[in-house]
Amino acid sequence: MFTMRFDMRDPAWGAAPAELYAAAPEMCAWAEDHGGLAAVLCEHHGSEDGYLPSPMVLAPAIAARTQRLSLSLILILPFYEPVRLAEDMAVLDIISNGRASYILALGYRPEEFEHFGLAVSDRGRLCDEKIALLRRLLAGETVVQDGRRITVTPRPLTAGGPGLMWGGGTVAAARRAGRYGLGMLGNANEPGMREAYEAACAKHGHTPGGTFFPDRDTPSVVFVADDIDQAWSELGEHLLHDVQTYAAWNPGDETTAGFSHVRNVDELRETGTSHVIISVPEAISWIRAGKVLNLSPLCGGLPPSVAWPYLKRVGEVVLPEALSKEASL
Amino acid sequence: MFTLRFDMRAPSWAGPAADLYGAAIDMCEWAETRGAALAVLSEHHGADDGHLPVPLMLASAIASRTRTLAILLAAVAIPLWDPVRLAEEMSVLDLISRGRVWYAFGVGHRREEFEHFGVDMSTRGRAADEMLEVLGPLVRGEVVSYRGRQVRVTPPCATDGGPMVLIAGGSKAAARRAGTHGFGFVSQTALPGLKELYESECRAHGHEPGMIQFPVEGAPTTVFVADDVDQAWDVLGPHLLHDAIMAASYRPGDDSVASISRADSVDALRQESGGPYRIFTPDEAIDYIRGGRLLPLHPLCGGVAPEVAWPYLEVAAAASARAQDHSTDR
Repeated sequence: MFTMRFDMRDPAWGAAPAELYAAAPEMCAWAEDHGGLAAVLCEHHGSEDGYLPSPMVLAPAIAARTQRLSLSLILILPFYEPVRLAEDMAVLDIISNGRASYILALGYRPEEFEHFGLAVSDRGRLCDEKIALLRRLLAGETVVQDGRRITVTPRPLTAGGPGLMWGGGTVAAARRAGRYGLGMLGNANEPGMREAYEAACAKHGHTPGGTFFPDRDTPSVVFVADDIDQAWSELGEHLLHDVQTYAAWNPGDETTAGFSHVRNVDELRETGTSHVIISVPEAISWIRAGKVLNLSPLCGGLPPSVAWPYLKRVGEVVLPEALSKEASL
Repeated sequence: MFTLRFDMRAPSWAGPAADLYGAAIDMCEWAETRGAALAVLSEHHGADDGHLPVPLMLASAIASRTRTLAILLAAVAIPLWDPVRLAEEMSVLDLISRGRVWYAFGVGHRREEFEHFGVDMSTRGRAADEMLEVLGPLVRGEVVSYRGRQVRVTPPCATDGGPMVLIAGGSKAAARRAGTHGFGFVSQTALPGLKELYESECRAHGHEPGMIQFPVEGAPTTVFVADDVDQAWDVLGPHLLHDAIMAASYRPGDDSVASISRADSVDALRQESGGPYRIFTPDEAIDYIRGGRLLPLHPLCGGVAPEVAWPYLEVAAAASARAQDHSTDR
């Protein structure tokens, strides 16, 4: 089984942007019939490489082309107007028939706070205010605040609204998730996160929700190839762009899963942690070990014509083989 | 040829609102090869009947299931938006739709909606002007100075110069705004002098006057096509009346907007001569289209259930096909 992350990063030397935006929904439509479990969409703002700024706008395009695929949207909460966000979520809940869920996060790039005229130092307070209003609106409440009367219509299809979790890579984030009483997705495994999360849940009277704490060695970008050398020469620069851009945004961060500090394609390949290209037999053994492959089919602005065979190999070769009865004996 | 309007209104006595969304997307996909020239999506907030609040979301879904259909969002009330966020969404939607999504921007007119967002209604004109100043350059990916900061939206849109933008409104201020910024102008009223004002404002600001549209006297805004018109009024009447009453209630005391009916019963709505709501026979629809006009369909008007709505759309599309086929003698 596999997931697909689409962040729409696209350096100037990558694919034509409109081709990437056409390919993402197409890949999702194909993938849900070939073992794809979920599409993961995330956001950043004002990024030189065109990183997707509005997962909420790409998600309906994917939802309209799929029937069963889960949609996981990672949103940076301080940048949203909570009333409009509740409206977007309600409509996406209807369009997707309840398939979209959300991981909300605090945000960290000062440039992005500046982009929206906000101060990074305000982000905790902004999240406190916005999450509270968002949840009341999604629950169908008419909220009266500051002399305003706010009701979000239409109501979400999912009773109580779509699933929300908190995301982050620090003990402080775990505490916040616990205080909000939301499930927690850690994008790192800083020691003590789970304990901090559970303690905060207990302190604020919440039952702990679902948690997921991948460690730094969980590959966030997996490609499956017949010829690994050839694949590195074809994909390497795109993967390197992805990893280096994240690293530049997180100077000194050694714990977050998903990126490493490398100087060139050879070093990235050597590191073998966040961005990996594995063989078909290796992918089969991962699946048989119960792992999910985290694909990022268009990583670093990969042209769709190059990207498709890697995705199809997973759906047409790896999964049928890994799941076949004979082979499992 | 025809247009398809969707506002997703669904009064509580009609079917589930959720059914309408899938149907709207399916209808656009089906109709784009059968004479649909344009889908029109509108926006209102906090409506009891669930009127679509976020047309950009539905536009994205429709765009991903169609290839050629143009999608007009009319009207988007820009003072209720943050321009940076709106520019980002417009850019992404432009990439997804390959330039097929157009915008008619308005200043908003319902006090409740300003309150909903905590936005001051009294300064809406100024807010709109401030936004229109920066929105185009933002969508194109230019570095823009906005409220003391330097902002650049990425990715830039795909369409050269940005997606098509019109100004919607019915006042002199709207005509002036459209002319100042060099956008096309869709007027909801036939106020005398607006055309001249628009054109002179365009020239004064160095723009070639763009597309301009006024309501046509006696032209319908919501049409269904049926073989049995009496039966259709029985089935559709309450839905059309709901739409009429809601639209009128959004414009209290304002009779200048051409699409507004003040009918308070299905019979009154049907009797309005030259009124906005009509059910045509196929022959009437063919004559209408052959008169060079687009049939303004509103297939799910007032929450008509999809299974009820589909046959009317099929009859309308068949009439449209016959209207195009000049060799067919009726």
